[in-house]
Amino acid sequence: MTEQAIVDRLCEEFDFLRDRVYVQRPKRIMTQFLDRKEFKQVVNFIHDVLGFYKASHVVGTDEGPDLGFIYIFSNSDGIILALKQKAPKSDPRIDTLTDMYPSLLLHERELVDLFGAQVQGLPDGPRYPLPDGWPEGNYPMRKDWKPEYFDKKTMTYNPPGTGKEGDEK
Amino acid sequence: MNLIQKAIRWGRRKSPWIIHFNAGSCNGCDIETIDALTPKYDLERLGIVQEGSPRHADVLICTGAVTLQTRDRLKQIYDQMAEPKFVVAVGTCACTGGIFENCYCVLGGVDSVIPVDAYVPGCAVRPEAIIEAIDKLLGTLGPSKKEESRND
Repeated sequence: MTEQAIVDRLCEEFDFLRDRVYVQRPKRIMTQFLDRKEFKQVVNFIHDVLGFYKASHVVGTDEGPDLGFIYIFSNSDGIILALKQKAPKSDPRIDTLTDMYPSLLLHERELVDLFGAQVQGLPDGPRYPLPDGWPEGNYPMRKDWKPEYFDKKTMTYNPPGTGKEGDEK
Repeated sequence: MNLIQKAIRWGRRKSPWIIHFNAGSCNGCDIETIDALTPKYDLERLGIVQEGSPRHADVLICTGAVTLQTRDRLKQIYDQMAEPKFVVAVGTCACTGGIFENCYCVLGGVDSVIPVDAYVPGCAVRPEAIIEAIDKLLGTLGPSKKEESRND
């Protein structure tokens, strides 16, 4: 199945994907940001029907008021499909994909620790990869979190203007 | 200096035992440190042996910038070593923090936590540089027996 055939099949199956999925260059397929419900449907489809059995990587991005998540899948032909989804920072809940792709466990834990995503259905386990004693509510990969305001001795985040010790954002 | 002290100094100079600790390295300097112990460079011909336990080691070879997670572990390993003990910071990150300086979870170089005796910059360091650093470090312990007899 060629890249264009996969794109055509996706557009045929999902109306909302029309003009939002495209072949970027040979063996690379990209989508624009989908919302969470659409994303789950597309992932189920590519896993069950199109044979994208391998989830290689997850990228988290800070999109201003939203958090972006880019999931990268590949199939046995070496075609790489990047699916994107978006969740607002006020309600950063996304569904876990570890039931379909167990290898995503550590990647999704990183999204929880570094971006503050709330991954629903993630198995219980230790936090990863931030150090022990890291204060709650501090997500270092978000753009509004500045490392120079973080006191590494007391492990507190003190942005200017608050003027008090131990004030966590 | 009595005879026992002389014997201890001779032994320390002749055969320093090293322990290798990764404080948050990218593994580049770790590979080079292990490389220095392989037959091509053969540190053991100089009496340098890699030791698994910090209680038996004289020299702590530390690679990588110190992260918040390894800070307490590094201190603990340093405290477990018997006096006199030496620390060699191997790699640019271990010397100053390198490209990871001011990162959200990085404290800086090894000297931000424990005192360091020798710095070996490089990204990644060459095995020859590590060998030379340990050689120079041992030179600070005082003249060897041969050099002493030459002076007399």
